[in-house]
Amino acid sequence: MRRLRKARGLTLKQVETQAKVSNAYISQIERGLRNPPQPDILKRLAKTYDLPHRDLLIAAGHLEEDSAETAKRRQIEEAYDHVRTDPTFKQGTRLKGTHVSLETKRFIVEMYEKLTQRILLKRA
Amino acid sequence: MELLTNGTQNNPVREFCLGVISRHTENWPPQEEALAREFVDWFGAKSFLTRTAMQELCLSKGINLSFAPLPPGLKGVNCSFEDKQEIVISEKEMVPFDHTHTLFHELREMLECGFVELGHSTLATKGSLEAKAEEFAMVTRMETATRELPGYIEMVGNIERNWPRYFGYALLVVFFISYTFSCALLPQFEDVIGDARRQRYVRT
Repeated sequence: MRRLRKARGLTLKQVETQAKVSNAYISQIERGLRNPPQPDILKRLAKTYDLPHRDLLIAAGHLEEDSAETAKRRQIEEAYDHVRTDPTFKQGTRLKGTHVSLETKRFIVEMYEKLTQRILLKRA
Repeated sequence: MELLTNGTQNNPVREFCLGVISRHTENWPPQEEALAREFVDWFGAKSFLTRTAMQELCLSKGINLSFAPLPPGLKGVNCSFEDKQEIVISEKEMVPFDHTHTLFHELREMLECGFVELGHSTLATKGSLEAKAEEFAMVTRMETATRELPGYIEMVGNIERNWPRYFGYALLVVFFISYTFSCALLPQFEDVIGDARRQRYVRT
């Protein structure tokens, strides 16, 4: 949670204002001193952190990630690693913050596929 | 130099990089302002560019530019593979001139690839490219405005009646100052507007 917040350049106070969750409570969650927040709080945090609600629910243990979802995520991560390490392909981005979301990784992989004519992601 | 020129054929970006290297060998790397001046000459950059004008300018340099919906937080992407070069910019323009700024940012990253391939990186550390590209985008926009200002002054100077001419000069001064501020503060404006929009979204 702390990594997510820092990656977006947000202070505890800003998260408190935007998500309407006390900064002391967020700080305790970040330090592992409290149990994972309830789904309604996670919903507000997801909006503040610009993340899918589902991702936070899975991370908090409220929802089990199905195997298809896990496989898809792993496939994108592996494809993105391949793209980053391919010396023949150069890419750069203009990104808010330093966190590269899964959606962004997928987009870059798709650009790679388009330019190199190589398929990395399996389509349904 | 002969070795360096290998591979610059049909690649205007690499050709430009080679020219910059040859003119600044003595004091490498060049300042971003100096690079921006050369870039504006080469690219034909202007202060006001429509999407079509940006696409045409890019195409003249062998770069395919498109505007598309991008994932949240992503404003632009540039990719190169062999002789194919592509830039995609978020179709949503958060603040005025956002597209122009992002385009120059992406082009600076492409130029860096060219410099690196020619063995002349301009970076002290690998992570500093993002900051350099932001600085380059700012100074390039300022450079275009500075070049276009005399033309506007002349245009206003041609107004025969005194008061409309003075009014024209005043408008020009105000606009030029605002534009210069917008060049320097665009990333901050984006953050402020982005946060405000997100906050409104959270509330609703």
